[in-house]
Amino acid sequence: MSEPDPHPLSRLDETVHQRARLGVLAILTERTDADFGYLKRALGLTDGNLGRHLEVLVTSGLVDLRRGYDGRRQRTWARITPAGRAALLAELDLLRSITRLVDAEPPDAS
Amino acid sequence: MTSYLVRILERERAARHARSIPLAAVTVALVVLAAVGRYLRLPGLWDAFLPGLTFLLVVAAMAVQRALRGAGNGRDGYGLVAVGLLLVPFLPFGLVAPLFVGAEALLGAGLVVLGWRGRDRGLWVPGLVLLALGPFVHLNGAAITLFWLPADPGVAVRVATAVAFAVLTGRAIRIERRRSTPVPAEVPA
Repeated sequence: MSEPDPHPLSRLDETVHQRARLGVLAILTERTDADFGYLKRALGLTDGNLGRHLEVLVTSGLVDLRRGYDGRRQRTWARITPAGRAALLAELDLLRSITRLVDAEPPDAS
Repeated sequence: MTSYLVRILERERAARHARSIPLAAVTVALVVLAAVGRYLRLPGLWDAFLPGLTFLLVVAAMAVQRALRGAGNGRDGYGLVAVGLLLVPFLPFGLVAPLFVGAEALLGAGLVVLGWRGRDRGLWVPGLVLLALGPFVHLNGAAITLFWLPADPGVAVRVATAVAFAVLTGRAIRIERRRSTPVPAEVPA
């Protein structure tokens, strides 16, 4: 007897699926790059919180960080990597397949 | 979670004015074309350079926006479109192409590419309209079908198109304002 197909939930990547990190990846997919301040404002996160999430994404190779100067002010730019873009698209596909699965479930009779 | 993602993608596109800036630039170009036809006389073939300059304006506006806001402009290909259109006059027959298809068609081609790459119907549909409109005006379609107009049919069509694009730009700005509210990552308890 063959093994049943694993539930799509088992394929969720926690690095990407976490809400704030998913938000960062979504912004960077649409923008290509954004500075720390912009990401913080757009997602309503604190410095520490955003810093921790960016660290996870950089360690996983999904985002690159680059320091630059805007006049005298230092700016940290985050840029999505090809792996980050692929991970976000895979997450979107997975979320859509889970939604389809839920929609296809017959309503509970109890 | 899917709707959260979709909202962020929509919000970012709205916040960088991905629709209104190209539409506004094309509106300005259409006003210039209409005004030149009616009030100004410029040396022949000048309009071969207008589409490239228009999309160069879009690139400049996007660059200013990136520097001020601290967020990039995605992969819609603004530079690609500008460079492509700036090269048109230097291609074989490129300089005389606007005589037949009109600068409007080249402006439309630019919008179609941006709308296709950005998956934005609000750009590629007006682009297709301009692609059809250019040859209509320049190959005497307007002069033949709209002969009954009291004004020069070509100029009348250009003025009407410029007005329609101004309305589309205003509508795009309203939609972008509505969509560009922040989407918080933390759900309030």
